Amino acid sequence: MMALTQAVTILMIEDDEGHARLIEKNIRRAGVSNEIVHLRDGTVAVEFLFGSDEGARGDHGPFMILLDLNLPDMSGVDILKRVKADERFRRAPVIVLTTTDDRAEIDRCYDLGCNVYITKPLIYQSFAEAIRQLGMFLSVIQIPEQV
Amino acid sequence: MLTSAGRRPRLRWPRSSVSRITLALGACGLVFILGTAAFIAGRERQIAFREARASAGGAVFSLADHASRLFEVADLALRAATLSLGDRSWEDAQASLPLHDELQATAVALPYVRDLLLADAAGRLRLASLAFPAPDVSMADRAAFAAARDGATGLVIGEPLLGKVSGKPSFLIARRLADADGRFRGLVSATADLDYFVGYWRRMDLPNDAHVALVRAGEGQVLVRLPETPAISATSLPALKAATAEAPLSGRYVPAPDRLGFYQRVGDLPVYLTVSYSEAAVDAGWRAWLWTFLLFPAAAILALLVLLALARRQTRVEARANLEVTRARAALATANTRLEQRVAERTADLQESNAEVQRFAYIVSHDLRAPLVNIMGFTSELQRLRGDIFPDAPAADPTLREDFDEAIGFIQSSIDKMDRLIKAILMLARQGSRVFQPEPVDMAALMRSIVDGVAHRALSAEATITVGPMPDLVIDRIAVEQVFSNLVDNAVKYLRPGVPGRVSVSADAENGRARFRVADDGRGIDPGDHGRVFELFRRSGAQDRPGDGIGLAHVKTLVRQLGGTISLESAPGRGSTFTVVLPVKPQDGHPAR
Repeated sequence: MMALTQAVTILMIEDDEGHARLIEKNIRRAGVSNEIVHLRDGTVAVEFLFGSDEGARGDHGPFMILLDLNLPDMSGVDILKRVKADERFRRAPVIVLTTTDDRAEIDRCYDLGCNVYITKPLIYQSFAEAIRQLGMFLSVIQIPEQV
Repeated sequence: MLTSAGRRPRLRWPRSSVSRITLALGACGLVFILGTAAFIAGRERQIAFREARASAGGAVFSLADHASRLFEVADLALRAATLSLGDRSWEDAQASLPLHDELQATAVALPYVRDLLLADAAGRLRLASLAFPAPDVSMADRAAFAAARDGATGLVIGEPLLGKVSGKPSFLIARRLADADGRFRGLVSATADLDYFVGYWRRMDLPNDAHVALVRAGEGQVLVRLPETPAISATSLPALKAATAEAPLSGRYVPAPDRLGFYQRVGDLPVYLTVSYSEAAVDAGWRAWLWTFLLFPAAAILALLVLLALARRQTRVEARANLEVTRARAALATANTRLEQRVAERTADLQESNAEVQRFAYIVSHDLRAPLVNIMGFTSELQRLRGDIFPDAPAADPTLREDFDEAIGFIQSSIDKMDRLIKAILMLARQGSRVFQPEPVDMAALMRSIVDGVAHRALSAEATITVGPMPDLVIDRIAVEQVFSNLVDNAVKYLRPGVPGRVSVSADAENGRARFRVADDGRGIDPGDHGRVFELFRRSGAQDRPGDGIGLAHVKTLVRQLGGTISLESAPGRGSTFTVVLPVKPQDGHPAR
């Protein structure tokens, strides 16, 4: 497995600890060893990305986002919107990884600029497969330089 | 605007122009009838008076003429008697029976002459037609005798008198008898038969209480009159005298305040014939006519009033009907508005609760799934560790490994089932939010494709599926396909084992609704479960076929959303018939959501 450029951080915005663990395990199994930052809810994620006061945090290295839509404090869609509306982050890849396979929801996310949409399947085999494929995907995509 | 029933005025100006016109026409008709009647009555009165005058005038002329002829004939009789007497002495004459007989014959021949009398210069009666020899009476006291003795030539009409022989009222028509040298010799006279006059006049039958009389000029003595009662008015004779002084031959006079009289001189004799009539009688006659006549205008007015009343009643009935129609319309409009409001409110409520249900279903399925992902994921992680937990050592207890596998198996199958249920909830929730797009659907083709879809399973179950003629619908294709594929699928699925199944799909349409029947002769459904089978996750009968109890719930939701109904007839062992009624075209009141 080709390693993703070390500098690229994976921001995992996921409220469910178990999901986070399973995702991380499978990513690691796929041979991706990049740093994974686990953000446990929307508020933390927004603070991490945009700072508590606007523009305070601009010092991230390059990153990509694994986004769960179903967060307890806000909708993942809102975070997606803000990321894609921000000049600094809009080129960062966003992978939506969520439980619903609602067609409208999927279309909406793609319309907002999401790069990949993955449904968390209950068949674990499929789930692990999907994550592993994601790992391969991560290993080949080029993360653009942050502006 | 409305007059309440409680205080409806007795008379009011009609509101509708129609009844106003009717009323105006009625008033015109009334005025016309009254005017015409008054005109005719007035005219009739005029004519009655004119006719009364003309009748009296005519009568007085002809009666005077008649009287004059009588007097002329009487005069001739007197002359004849004079000639018969000739130069005979009174003694001869008095003794002459032939002369008497001749006088008698003449008197009998002339009905209006009662007696012919001959008297000598002293007034003594010498010959009389009624007796021979003549009774010994004197005529010297008679005015006619005096007039003749005093030298009156020509016919003398005497005063009214009472006959000395007959004892009856009469008057004398007399002539002077003279010698060859012209000296007064006696009097030849006739007594008038008043009964003749009265009888003759009576036969004339003059109208209007007419009075007829012969009156001597001068003192104005009444010789004969009809009727004999009542007494002549005190003003009558003076009025006649005054009138004749003005116009001696003929004219009019006023005998009494309410009477009008006509007089005519009889020939050139000093006698007048008078006819008078009562204007009150004319009036009374006119009044009598008037009462009869008034029946006609009265009948006309009555008819008019009846017509008016009918017309008024008709317009009232119409007005009331109009009012009721207006009220009913207003009520209907109000009810409609209320109903629409209600429907709108209900629809809003329903949509709201529907949306809530959808949100709920979405959240539940989302949030239920998240832990399932974990259970599934970590169960699989555990399974990965199986090799480490149970090393492939012969010493290991094989039952432990079997228990572990069994537990993992149950967890996984339960999760599978849970997943299917959540998917079903999600699908139904999504169905509720899907926007239907009605389009013309060839139902026969659609049914064929559904039947083709289950053909393989039907073949293995030895079932035959027949599709009858189908009406075409304008409907959401996906929804209707889901409905019937579920029903046909169920029919094939629940056939009786070992019995070749027969499934039929038929339809008919009337009144804008199509009725589809999907019938099978399969295992049937217990009547107690007829409601239950339409509920989510509920199933009926032996649970020997795969399924989660979703299909019929889904079908019911779809049918309701399509504006239709679904019902079930079934009994265990006798098959089931599902009847779906759908609108042929989307209904206006049913928003396609």
